[in-house]
Amino acid sequence: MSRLSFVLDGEPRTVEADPTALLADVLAGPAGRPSVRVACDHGVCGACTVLVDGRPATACSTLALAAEGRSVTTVAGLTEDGAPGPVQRAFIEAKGFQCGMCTAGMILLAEAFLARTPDPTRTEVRRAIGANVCRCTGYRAIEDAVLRAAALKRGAAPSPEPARPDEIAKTTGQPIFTTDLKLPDTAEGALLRSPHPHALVRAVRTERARALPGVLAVLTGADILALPHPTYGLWVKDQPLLAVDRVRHVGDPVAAVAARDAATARAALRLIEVDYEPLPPVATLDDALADGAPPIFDGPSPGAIPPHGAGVTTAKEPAPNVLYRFRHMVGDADEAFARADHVFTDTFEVSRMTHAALEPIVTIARPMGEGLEIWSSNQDPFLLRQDIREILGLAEHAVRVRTLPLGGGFGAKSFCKLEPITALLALRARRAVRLAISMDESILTLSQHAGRLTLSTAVAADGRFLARRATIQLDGGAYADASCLVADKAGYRVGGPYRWEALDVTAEVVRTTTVPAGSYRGFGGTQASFASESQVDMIARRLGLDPAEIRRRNLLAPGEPYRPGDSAIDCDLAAGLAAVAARIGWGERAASASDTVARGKGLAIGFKDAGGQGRFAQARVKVTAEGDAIVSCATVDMGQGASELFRRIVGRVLGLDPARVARAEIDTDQTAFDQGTHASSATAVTGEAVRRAAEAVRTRIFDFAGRRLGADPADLALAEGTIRAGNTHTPLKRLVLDYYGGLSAEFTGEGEVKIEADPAAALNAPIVYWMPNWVGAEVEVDRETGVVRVLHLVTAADAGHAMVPEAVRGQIEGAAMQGLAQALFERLDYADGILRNGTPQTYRLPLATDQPAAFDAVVLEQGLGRGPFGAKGVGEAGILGVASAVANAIEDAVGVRLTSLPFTPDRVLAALDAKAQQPAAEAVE
Amino acid sequence: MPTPQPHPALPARPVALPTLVGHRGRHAMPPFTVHTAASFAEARRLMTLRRARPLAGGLDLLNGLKTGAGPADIVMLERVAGAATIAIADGDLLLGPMVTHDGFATSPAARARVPALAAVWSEIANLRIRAQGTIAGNLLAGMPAYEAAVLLAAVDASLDSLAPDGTSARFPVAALGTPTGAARPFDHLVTAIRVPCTPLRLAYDRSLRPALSVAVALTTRLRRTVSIVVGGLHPRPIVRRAHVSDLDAPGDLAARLLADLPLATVPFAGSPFYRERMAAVLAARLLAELAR
Ligand SMILES: Cc1cc2nc3c(=O)[nH]c(=O)nc-3n(C[C@H](O)[C@H](O)[C@H](O)COP(=O)(O)OP(=O)(O)OC[C@H]3O[C@@H](n4cnc5c(N)ncnc54)[C@H](O)[C@@H]3O)c2cc1C
Ligand code: FES
Ligand code: FES
Repeated sequence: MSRLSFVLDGEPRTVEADPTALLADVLAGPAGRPSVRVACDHGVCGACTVLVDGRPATACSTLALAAEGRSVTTVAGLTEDGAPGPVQRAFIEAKGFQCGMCTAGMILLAEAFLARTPDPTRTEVRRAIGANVCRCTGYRAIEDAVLRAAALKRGAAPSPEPARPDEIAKTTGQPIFTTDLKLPDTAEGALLRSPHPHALVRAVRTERARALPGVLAVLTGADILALPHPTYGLWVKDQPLLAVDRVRHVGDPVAAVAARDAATARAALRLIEVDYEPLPPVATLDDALADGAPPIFDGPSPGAIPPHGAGVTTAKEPAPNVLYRFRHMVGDADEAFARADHVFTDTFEVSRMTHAALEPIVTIARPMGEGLEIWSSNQDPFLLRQDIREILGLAEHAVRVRTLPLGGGFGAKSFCKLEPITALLALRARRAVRLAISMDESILTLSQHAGRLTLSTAVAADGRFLARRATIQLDGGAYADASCLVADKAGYRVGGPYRWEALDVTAEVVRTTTVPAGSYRGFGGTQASFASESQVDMIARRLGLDPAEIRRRNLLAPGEPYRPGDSAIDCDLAAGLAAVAARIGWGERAASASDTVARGKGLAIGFKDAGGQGRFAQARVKVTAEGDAIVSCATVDMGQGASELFRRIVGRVLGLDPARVARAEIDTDQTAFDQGTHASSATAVTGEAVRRAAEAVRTRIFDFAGRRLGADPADLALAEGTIRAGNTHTPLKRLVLDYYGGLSAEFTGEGEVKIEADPAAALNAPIVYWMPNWVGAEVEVDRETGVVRVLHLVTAADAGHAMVPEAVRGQIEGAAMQGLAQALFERLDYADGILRNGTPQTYRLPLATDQPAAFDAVVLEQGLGRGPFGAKGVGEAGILGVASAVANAIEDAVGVRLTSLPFTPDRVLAALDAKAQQPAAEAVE
Repeated sequence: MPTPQPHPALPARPVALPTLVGHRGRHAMPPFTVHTAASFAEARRLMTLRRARPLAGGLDLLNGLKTGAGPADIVMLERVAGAATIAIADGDLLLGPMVTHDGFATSPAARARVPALAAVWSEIANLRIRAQGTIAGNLLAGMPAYEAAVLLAAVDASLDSLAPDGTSARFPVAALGTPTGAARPFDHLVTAIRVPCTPLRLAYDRSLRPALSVAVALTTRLRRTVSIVVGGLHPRPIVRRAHVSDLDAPGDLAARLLADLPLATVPFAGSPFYRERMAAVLAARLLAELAR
């Protein structure tokens, strides 16, 4: 240890630090600045940005020693008299963040940029913030924030709107995430992972690791075999906490260690010897389905498929290396195909992305009484409690899960992941254990589903869709996770928002020896929408029809059931298409800038169901004597704005400024039950439970006030904590103190929503609401390089009624940016089963500079939603239609059809070459 | 003065810990010792005696250590007197090894004397990296996709260095080998980057990075020399030079100069032929731009 002296946020500081320590660790540790958070740990994302002598420094890639004698500024140092300073204020006003994980770094970057460029253009701002990654926002709001900061610094008057507590916390660097949490006496956990894609585990020797001073517990497959339920997964529970006799992907955990610190834990991992007997990898769908392919599992896995509804058959593990098969049939497909004037068959391939949420997956487990207390960056506190109880054989009441806001999720943090193994380490070590995996490890933990989709579509001469047969093969990777549900959704959504006489869809999950795939924003809808909306366009072009017109002819109308027995369409699909077509200038063609580039436009309507299946959510609202409210529910805030939504719902019901509504922390011992933060259900399901809870508490208040005032409760109104009866206004507090005395009292109301099962609906319960994503894209394709530039992207979603408009817009933009990245470059690059870009440096994430030159996120409020006050969620919408709109625009520009994601320049050029060699026009079948 | 030798008691360096899948990161860094040097001579001595690697901005060196392998000794150049200065000597611009991308791109001297180079340099990387990353570190990191070598080779820059035996050396950037290859001034301490202030026109295309980037320079002397430099395909950039009388047929010229471009050896996702083809396309475009 040595003493390191520097000026920290304007104050001289001396801390004890290892001279080889990194600046990020010294600042977040002994210097007490939790806002200096490490995300990628590779210099890439900029989440750890601080200023050293006013210049941006990447604290995860800087020796603390380099700060000796210098002035270091963290985001906490930008406050003025404890209140947000101009740049922080501007980020709050412009809503320049969602989850907040990138925010400290972005604000400091902006501070340094504005010091040098006080009056920047948007283009200059875009280039500047292009240094750091934000996975949530899509960057427009951050650009607005930086431009606003420039104005505030030049003397513009700040907005009078008060900042919310979470906004202040995120912009001034207060600890809010699980990754910021520091419990006393906590050991560090670490996992030894397989270097092999597929191998038998012959022996695991841990003696040397156990003997290392500072090691508190070492676990292997042998330990987990002793558990009541050693495996987990959503329906099929095939994933062991640690590999037992076999590893099934590179990164599969084989052993776990708890030690006094992170370095000792890793040193212990290096002392564990594993004898592997490599088996042939099963890298691709074709490898897995080939005759004689090595089976990845020898026998059936635990778990069961829940009942489905009309027209659906399912099968668990129906064939070697096939995890699950979903089949959905409507009408008589043979008959419809026989009648068709045209049949088109096309195959599409989707790549897979990694979630790259900036907050790592972190769990802290602490033994407590006969059980455990757990903090986890997980979207599903109650499911986690249930899984941990079951896996470890504990009483349910003995497992207490607490959840703080997440630094981004996008599906990566849904369902059980590394929490049970952390819990087991804590029980063995008999102390708190923290397991925080790196971004590299997150990449090896869960991904989106890659897949192949073959669509045969029967069409009448006038372009009317008759029937579709689809075969969907999703690469589920090594373990089930949520794959079966994703297959359901991909299969059910592949018909898109169109009217069909018949459908015959099979969606399979194929196991491979790659990273397990699971929930990812869009959840099967992204894959299905890409294939379906690409093919709709191809059909239109083959039939010589306008792609907008063929859609109009086939779109479902508002009120029409999506499929027989299911809920009705709650949006105006044609109106949304018209809005987007108008904005993109559909039908007009702008001249290309040169001979080597060509411009084109494409439309798409991505589509999915939302709100989850047969969901159940509860909520509780308390009102204090002052009239303030506290809402308790278990939707996890991960930047989607759920907490603010709940505050506004409660505020609206109780006639209360939302600033007077607090959101209680999530704690399974205290919080109202919820089945989890999935499927964009926060608004429509939990939000509705919150509305009902607010109404229930209002009823109790009116009953009480009616009795005290001698008035009919039906004649009372509530506004800012005051009861109005006719012309009389009485503070609630006065009534409470009069009756309950000076020790005061509170009122509590509860509400719940259960979507009832209905076997007439294909997925055994009616869909809660429908989530369309209308997209228009204008692209420019360089014929010599194959580079596709998106000049204009219009993406629209229906919020029903936007309760928090800025959050709705932010969700659409952020999701669209993910969709655009998937269209153009972002993917996990597997070659021969080996992941070639499994680090933040090699995996390309979209930056501000990747935004389309013009980017319109359109919030439609079509008013047909069935959620609270007509609201619907939009969290996943924006990703659904982008890739197909871009593919359609490319064909419009240069006449080539890209059917595999992403549309990298070399693929585009290869397609152009192929077209040049085959000039003959494609005939209509 | 006798040549200093590594201390015989020192362990073999660099150090490498067994790889742990997924554990690249700061917790995987092997133990190392940090030295601070006040002069180039002291830094060079530490490099020789302890086989220390120089640390400039640290972006590559520290992130490299996070793989579990790297030097057991590091010598910080930050406090070396004059290491961050930009000077003019013998008509050349002399960049100290602590000059950052940003320091160079915004320096009045660079903007006045090598305006085209300073202008393209402001496009490299991003605001945050430019503020910390040095040009010397970029060159010496040995990363094929990095751009300093491409641009500096195009303008015929050279490096001043101290060899392990303490002797001074100067060699063109274009002759810089690979960290493990035969031409290895990698064990030298670079003390300055020498950028000639020759009037020239420079055009650069980095739009296909990291697959490749191409720079084209044209001297405006009586006898015009065109240099085409292609980076990203091979461990070090490929440089092609020719005297030209005009640039009337840029496509032909690019094709001729790059006709024998060796097949790319640096792996990249996608078709291997794409990048070679693009080298000629981008070079032709840049030549056409210079011809305008
Ligand atoms: C997110 C990100 C984006 C980037 N984008 C780009 C980009 O667009 N284009 C681009 O070209 N680069 C890019 N880079 C790379 C960046 O420019 C380099 O990381 C940086 O220039 C390295 O400089 P450094 O001072 O940090 O090097 P260091 O890490 O300090 O050193 C790198 C290597 O050089 C050696 N070295 C340093 N100084 C000397 C010396 N004087 N003598 C001998 N050896 C020496 C070190 O020992 C080490 O081996 C990017 C990096 C990141 C993290
Ligand atoms: S750049 Fe430091 S954590 Fe990503
Ligand atoms: S707000 Fe930027 S990463 Fe979440």
